[in-house]
Amino acid sequence: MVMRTRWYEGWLAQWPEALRAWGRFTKVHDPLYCPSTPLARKAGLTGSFAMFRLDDRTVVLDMQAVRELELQDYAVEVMAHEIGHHVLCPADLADNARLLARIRQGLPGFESQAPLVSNLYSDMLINDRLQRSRGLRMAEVYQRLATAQPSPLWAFYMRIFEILWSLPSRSLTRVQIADGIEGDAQLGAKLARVYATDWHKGAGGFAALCYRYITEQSEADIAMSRRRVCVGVVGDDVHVPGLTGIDGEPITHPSLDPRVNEFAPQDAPSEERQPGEGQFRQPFEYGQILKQLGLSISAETAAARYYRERAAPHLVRFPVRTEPHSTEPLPEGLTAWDIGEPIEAVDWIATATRSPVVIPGITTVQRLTGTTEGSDEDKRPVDLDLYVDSSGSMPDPRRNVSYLTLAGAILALSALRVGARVQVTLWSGTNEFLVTDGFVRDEEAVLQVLTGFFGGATAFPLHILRGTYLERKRTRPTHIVVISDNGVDTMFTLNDEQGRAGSEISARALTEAGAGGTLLLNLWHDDQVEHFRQMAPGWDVHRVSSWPQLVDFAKAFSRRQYERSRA
Amino acid sequence: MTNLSALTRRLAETPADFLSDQTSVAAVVSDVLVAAGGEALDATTAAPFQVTGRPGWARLVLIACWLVSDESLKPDPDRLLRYFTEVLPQLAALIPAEHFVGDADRREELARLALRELDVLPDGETAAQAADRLTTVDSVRRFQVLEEARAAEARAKAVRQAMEEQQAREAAARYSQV
Repeated sequence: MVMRTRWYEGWLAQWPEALRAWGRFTKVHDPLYCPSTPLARKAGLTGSFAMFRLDDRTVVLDMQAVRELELQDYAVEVMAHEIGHHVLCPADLADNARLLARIRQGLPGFESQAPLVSNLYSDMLINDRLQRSRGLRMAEVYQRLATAQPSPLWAFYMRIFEILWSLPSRSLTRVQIADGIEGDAQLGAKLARVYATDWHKGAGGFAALCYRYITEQSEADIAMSRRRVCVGVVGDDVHVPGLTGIDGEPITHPSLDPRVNEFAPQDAPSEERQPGEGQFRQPFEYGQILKQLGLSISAETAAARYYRERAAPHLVRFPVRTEPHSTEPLPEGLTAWDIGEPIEAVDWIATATRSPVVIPGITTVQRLTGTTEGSDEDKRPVDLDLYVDSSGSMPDPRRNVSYLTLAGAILALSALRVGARVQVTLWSGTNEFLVTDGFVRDEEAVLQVLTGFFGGATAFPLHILRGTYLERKRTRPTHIVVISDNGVDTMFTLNDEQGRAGSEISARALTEAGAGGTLLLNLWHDDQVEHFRQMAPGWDVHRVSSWPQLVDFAKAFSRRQYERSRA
Repeated sequence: MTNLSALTRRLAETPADFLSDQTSVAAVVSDVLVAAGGEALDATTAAPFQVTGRPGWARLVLIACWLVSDESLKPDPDRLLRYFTEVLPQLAALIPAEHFVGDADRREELARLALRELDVLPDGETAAQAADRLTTVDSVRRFQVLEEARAAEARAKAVRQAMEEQQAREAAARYSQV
């Protein structure tokens, strides 16, 4: 039988050579060759001919598209380029995310095009290195990709390569370049060299350079450009660390950057930082970046990841109760065994010793055991019961950062860390509530409920409080936390559906919980705190509507719990 | 025909004497002209090279003297003088002289300008290719296009800022209490 060989089988043999372009010790496992575009699409490659998956470090190639673009003879160039994404730019998940976030900053209003610009930028750095230092034929690859009617963006991008590699004008651009584009391309070429080894710093400038082309592009132009650059993707389960923080450095256009433009004034005025700009991005933008990185996750999951990352550095010492070790049995002699008592309780040796004739209920005896306290002490964490107000007056934690949600996340994660169980109830109007499956140890479930949002009316779910503490006996001490605003008064002023007063249910629940309660409130004035302290005797009331107040709360919470545990 | 990379390498290896402020520019220029078969400078023709305070142009002429002394070049003395007195002043007005030793693109520019003025083609290039590449590295033109890019950026900045302000307003509208 004659096996038909595929035309690209020689590509695999050239993989080691492609790896060598990045050094003798570079290791990336064999690429995935998709014979046709539909199969490539199944593997996650859409809109381009090649992609790099950063989570499992795989290079995926659409061989049908490679053939259509007439790149069959450039195996080493194409593959070495893809390897470049794994070793040079962006190289890892965190840098990939930082690069994308930085480029988004340079494209206000056109953030949706950030992945394309990010790919153009990393492709430029990789290709310049391969062409100049490794002697690969990257220019020829671009000649194959050239188009007779390039968009202004593509013409600008190709002109950069002509300048970088001393190629004749129009060899890649195919058209006469206007002076405006020439200036931008000169800046782009210089930027590629200046920031070649510190590429994160040059990313914002490159985005600023592309900005005016992006604003003028049509959808067809974008699709054309996308087909000619490779794409980077990551899996949905990937956790990208450090993405909640913002790179505060203002973006300088390369024409004003003295390192790139030698004619720029040395003390170029950098763009003023926006007043009040924080160090962290909003959850909404965080979710958008994750989506642009290729993660198909819901707004809730993105918000859960956001609050987890922001809460992680601020975990507090969650209260732990010290108790004597489980009691040990202590033999205390014998007592009569009567009919009806468990037969296995009879001490047969003692019974036979007492009388060789066994008469049940008369001669039978059983051991009497007391208990003694063990010498070791046992530490048991206090459970956490969180009630999160999700009425219309509260901010949506999935859009803008909510310090109350952050406080809740800090408490919940602190509790889970020491082995406690957590119950979270998200509540809004009557019958609008979402609760975890009782007290659980599942971090995902806890954060999902915590970062949810109803945006309805305000009615504290007294029936859950009642069910948790008054209708069942809690065996473990529990700390109750209510996250709310003025609407927390519904916890004390309303009655439940059985007509019981909320103030009574709350007070009894606090007593039954046995480890205190906290009201975390988003209030406009400190004066209101006193009002709620009087309304809720026994509860610790904290106002948290800003970062400093959150820090104050965390300190106060730790101190209070420490005092309680010593009492 | 001359090897361009040999010339740019020569520039990168410019000896310290050709960068020193103590060296007499007029004397070096005179020597270069004589070596090219021309006449030495006299008191009148030497005067422009003897300006006090050593302007950037004079420093650049000294570096160019080192460049054109390469054995592969057989310069015409008149063309050489024109290169020194008409071409280099424009360049020196824009770029500090030491960049023509330390920066690869500027080295290429200085060498290509010399070849153009001396009517020599770089190895393996046609006249059109040489002219095209010189246009790319030409600082005078670069200055013009970069000024244009800067002006375009000033216009784009207004658009970008308007966009950022609009986003800030939208964010504020989303912002309910916290």
